[in-house]
Order: sequence, then structure tokens, then C-alpha cells
Amino acid sequence: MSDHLDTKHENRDETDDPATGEEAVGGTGGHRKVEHARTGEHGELVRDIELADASGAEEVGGPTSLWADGWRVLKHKPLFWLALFLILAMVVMAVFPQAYLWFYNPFPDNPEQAKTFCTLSNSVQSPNAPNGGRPSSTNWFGFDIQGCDLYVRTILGARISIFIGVIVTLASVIIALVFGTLAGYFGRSIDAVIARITDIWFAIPTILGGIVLLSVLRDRGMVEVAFVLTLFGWPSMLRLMRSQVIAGKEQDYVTASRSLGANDFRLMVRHIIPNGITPVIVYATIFIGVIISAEAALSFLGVGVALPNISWGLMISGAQDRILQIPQLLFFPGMALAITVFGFMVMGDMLRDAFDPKGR
Amino acid sequence: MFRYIIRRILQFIPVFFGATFLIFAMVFAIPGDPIQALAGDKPVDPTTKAVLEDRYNLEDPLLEQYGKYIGLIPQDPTLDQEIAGEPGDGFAGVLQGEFGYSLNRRPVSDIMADAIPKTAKLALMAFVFEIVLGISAGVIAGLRRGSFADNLVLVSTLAVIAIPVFVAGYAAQLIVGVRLGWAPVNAAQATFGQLILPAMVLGATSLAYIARLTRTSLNENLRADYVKTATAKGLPRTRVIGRHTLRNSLIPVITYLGIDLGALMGGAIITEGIFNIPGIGRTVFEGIIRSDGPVVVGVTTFLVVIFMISNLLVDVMYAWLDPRIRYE
Repeated sequence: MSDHLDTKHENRDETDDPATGEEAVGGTGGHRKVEHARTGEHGELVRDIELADASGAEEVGGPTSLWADGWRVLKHKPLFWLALFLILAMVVMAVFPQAYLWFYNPFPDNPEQAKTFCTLSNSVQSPNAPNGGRPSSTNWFGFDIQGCDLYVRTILGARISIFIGVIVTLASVIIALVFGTLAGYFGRSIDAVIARITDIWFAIPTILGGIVLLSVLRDRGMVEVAFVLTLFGWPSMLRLMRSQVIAGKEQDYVTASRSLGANDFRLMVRHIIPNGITPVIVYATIFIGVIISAEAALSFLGVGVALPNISWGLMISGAQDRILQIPQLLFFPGMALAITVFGFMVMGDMLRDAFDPKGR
Repeated sequence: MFRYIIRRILQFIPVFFGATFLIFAMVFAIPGDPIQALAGDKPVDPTTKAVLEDRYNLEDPLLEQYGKYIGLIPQDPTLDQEIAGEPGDGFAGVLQGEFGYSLNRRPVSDIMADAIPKTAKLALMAFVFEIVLGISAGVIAGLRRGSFADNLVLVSTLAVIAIPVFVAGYAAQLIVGVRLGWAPVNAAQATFGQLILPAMVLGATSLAYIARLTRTSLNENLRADYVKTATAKGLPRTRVIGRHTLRNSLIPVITYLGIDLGALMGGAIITEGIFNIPGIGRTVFEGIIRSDGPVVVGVTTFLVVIFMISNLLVDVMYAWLDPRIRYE
């Protein structure tokens, strides 16, 4: 028993005194009142920090902000650095694919082919393909069925995955910030309307909703798929934001600020949102991974982005019948996908450990 | 508790109609020709189109179309029935178990009839697999916090979550099925032996989530006052954990299982497609390949309805398991 307590406290925010910490985690998950109280305590912790910030404690000495505390925990975690490295590597791949391609020369003998990276005679099924189309020192990942260099395609496939993951997450966070805050803050009829609409959308799992809507859409590019995933993805984010606001608006500092004459907008933007956003940021990091996975699954099923877009899910989908004979067609795009999702998932986990100890 | 359950059921009604209406409207109220859109690039034979437009009542106002589709308004006689002077089918919609017609004019409910038991079998096997192994791994990690086993569970579950179902499916087929020859590659008869590998692939992601959730929940509960009391009064550790802590720790896991079903259904479409299991997932998978939109929409609507009903059941069960549910 006692060793569990000790390890727990080692990982907790140092500003949080052990007594509070113990009470905070003492409740069982699922009991809403207890959860409410716990959120409250967390909120107070944040408030203390914010007050300290406002009074200029940071300049006086010791780091006291939640972010500084989180950073102190994070910088000693190897998994955090691993996740950061993977995410940065993938983001660079999405934004500047040239960073991975400028040194790569798949066709040393034939500069003409290097313009497209694809020649049907190089197909992994063609007898003339260099090294039988298998991975080699010139063509690192080998060739695909269409005779395209698989390394080049795998690198170029990052763009759609990462962009869709980030766009859908940003859009969902914005929806959650606006409507979740309004619902949580004003309550009553506004909340009733927003919460019921959210319930309805929440009842449709993202993949299933995506399959239905995308199967009737003709031109499916990045924008269409991002739109559809946002359409079915936002409800969980909004629910989280709403519960954070409901817990936050009861806090003393909000009452204090209101009695000093702050209007609703100021209360929301200056106090309630900043103090309740941390779990949303943590969830958003994980959400990027979830959405990337969903996009790949939809593209694999044939209702995601359509050719000639390059997407990892689409690459595996196109190789479906040949995978058992030519595993490279699954391995490289599959690995790229798994590494990307893993990066965001681990990052979310690390951020939660550092910033949201109660959510562990 | 009864008030909670009744309230939950009353809340379910608008969600049910709202969600099914959304799906219906997204497909049939889009600008242009819905039947052609459902068929993708494939040309639709004019007779088929006329029949389907008639069966989906596309000439009616949207709400009436939906009423007939969901089964609250009786169906008009179809063209054939009109010629033969027969009455319509009466109420024949989602509420009566009808989910529209394929491009071959076959009722989707007919197509699903043989397939549902196979998918249920696969899902049940995946469920047992993920619950047994997920909870075990979660308990091992949760009891020995910070140990090697704990870190192993934490990192390996993230790795499992990161691998998409279709990559895991093909990899399992390739390695376990083809290279090692331990399991059949094709599960066309959907026998127990054939379904073991697909069920493991399907349940793997949820297994990882369950393990993490159990671990977190167990960790929190181990610090609860009632656990200290139980330890203090001299109960053996096995009893403290087995009878007191674990029971309460599993409540969030049960809630998760309801939500998880949605992911499981998406996964079943992919897994059944890869392993050639003739379940309703494969019906959707093939429906997409063959551009048979009405089948895709019909079966998916069925899956969404199942998802909603199971979540209702989970919530009711939650009230029964956790007497601390807030009374409002």
C-alpha cells in the first residue's frame, strides 16, 4: 500500500501538497460528485498558480506555473523525448517532404525516371524491375505494383495523414471551445440544446458515420475527409470542455472576478477557459493519433481520400491482394502509420502525466 | 435508481430518432440524385432506379420519407403491388428490422440474416479475449505500479493502439497464417478455430485500452479510504483486492465496453474483409467495393442502432452496479 502512495507522490506536481493530493485521488472514478470535487481541487491548484503568476512571482524566483511544473516532469522522461522526436520527424515529412528526398537517388542510371519516381516496368511484379522490385541500396523500400518507388511514396503519404489529423483536431477543439464553453457556462436552455445535439452526434461512431457519408460523396480529397471526420469527431471533445467549464465556473476566483464587475465574456476567456483547457490539450494530442488512424481505416476501406492522392491507408488498400506475396507493400506504409500514431499517443500520455495528474 | 433508468430511457428516444434521421438525411437529402450517388460511378439501370426511388419514397417530403424508412408511417404499395392491386407492406422500417434495399432490389435485412450470427460470434470471441487479457494485464500493472511489468504494459499497450486494425490484420495473416502456418488464413466458414486469429486482431486495440483503464482505476481505488479500512481490519490482501478494490475498479471498464463497441464494429468491417468472414462487416466491405451504397448505408445504420442500444444497456447496468449514481 504505502509504496504505491510514495511513487504516486513522486510523480505529482510539486506545488500540490501531499495531503491535498491524497484526498484528490482518494475518490473512485465514476462517482460524479467525487470527480467534481477533484476537478475543483485541481482548479484551485491552477488558480493559486495563476494568482502567483499575476503577482509577478515568476520574476521573483522559482518556477511556479503549471507549464513550468509540467516541463520539470517531462524533461526527465525519455519517452517524452522519443515522442517529440517522432512527431517532429513526421511533421517535417508532411510539410517539407524534400527534407527526406533531396539526398535520395533511386534511379542513378536513368535521370528521366527520377522526375516521376514511377515507371510501370519497375513494378514489383515485373521481371525487369531492379533487384526484383525488392528493397535494395538504391531503392530502399523497393517498388510497388505500379512501379513507383515505395520510399518516395511512403514519405509523400505523410502529408494527408498529418494534415487531416491536425485540421480535424483543431476544428474539433474550436467547436468544443465555443459551444462547450457556452453550454457549460450558461447552462439551462443553451446547455440543454447543445448537450442534446451533442448526444445525437455522439451516438454515431466516427468510422461508421464516415463510411455512410463518404460513400455518397463523389470527389474525396483531403478537405472532404477532414470535414467528415470533424463532423463525427467533435462530440467527445465538446463533452470534455463542457465538463471542465461546469467545474470551473463554480470556483471562488470566478465569483470574485464577477463581483469585481467582469462580464461573462471576460470570465470565460480570462479565467474559465485557461484553467480548464489542460485536459482538452492532452486529449487533443491523443485525438490527432485517433483521427490519423481513422483516416487510414477509411482510406483502406475505399471511402477515404481517393486516388491520385497519396495516403498510407490507400497504399495498403491498393496492395490488398498482393500483401501475402509482397510484404513490403504492407510493411513500409503500415510502419509509417503506426510510428506516427504511436508518437501522438505517447505524447498525450506524457502530457497527461505531467499536467493532469488526476487523469492518470 | 429507477428514476435514473427511466430518465435514461427517455433520453434515448430523441437520440435514437435524431441519429437515424441524421444518417438518413445525409444520404437521401443531398443535392442531386441520391440513388446515383449511392451507386458511385457505376451506371444505374433506370428500372432499378425507379424501383429504389419508389421503395425509399424519394418523391415524398423528407420527414415523410424518414417516417416510412424508420417505420413510423406505413409504406405505400410498391409499383408491383400497385399493379397487382395489393396493399403496401404496412409498417416496414428500421423499427421493424428493415434497413432498405440493395441495388439488386434485395431487402438489406435478407442479406444480413445469415451474416449476423457470424459477426456476433466474432465479436463475442473478441470481447472475451479483450476482457480476460485486458483486465489481467491491467491488474498486474496496477498492483505493481512503477515495476517492470507496469512499464511494459504501459508502452506495449500504446504500441498496440498505434497499429491500425488493417495493418495488424494483414500482419497476423502473413506471419501467423502464412509463415508459421499456425492459423487458417481464410475464415470463410466462420468456425471457432478459424475465428481465433481474427478475434485476437479485432480485440487487440480494445484490450490495450481496457488494460490501461483497469490499471488507472485500480491505482485510484487502492488509495481509497474503504480499502485502507479493509486492510486495517485485517482482511487478507487477496480479499481486499478481489472483493473490494477490483469490483469498484471495473465499473469504468464496463462503461468503456459500451463505447468500445463502436470501435469494434468499425474494426469488424475491416477484419471480416481481410479474413474473408461472411459476416455483416464483410457485407459492408464488399458493398463499398461493389459500390452498393444502399447496402452500406443499411448495414451501417443497423450497426449504429446496435451501438446505441448497447450503450443504453451499459448505462442501465452502470446504475445497477454503482449505487452512488447521482439522483437528479
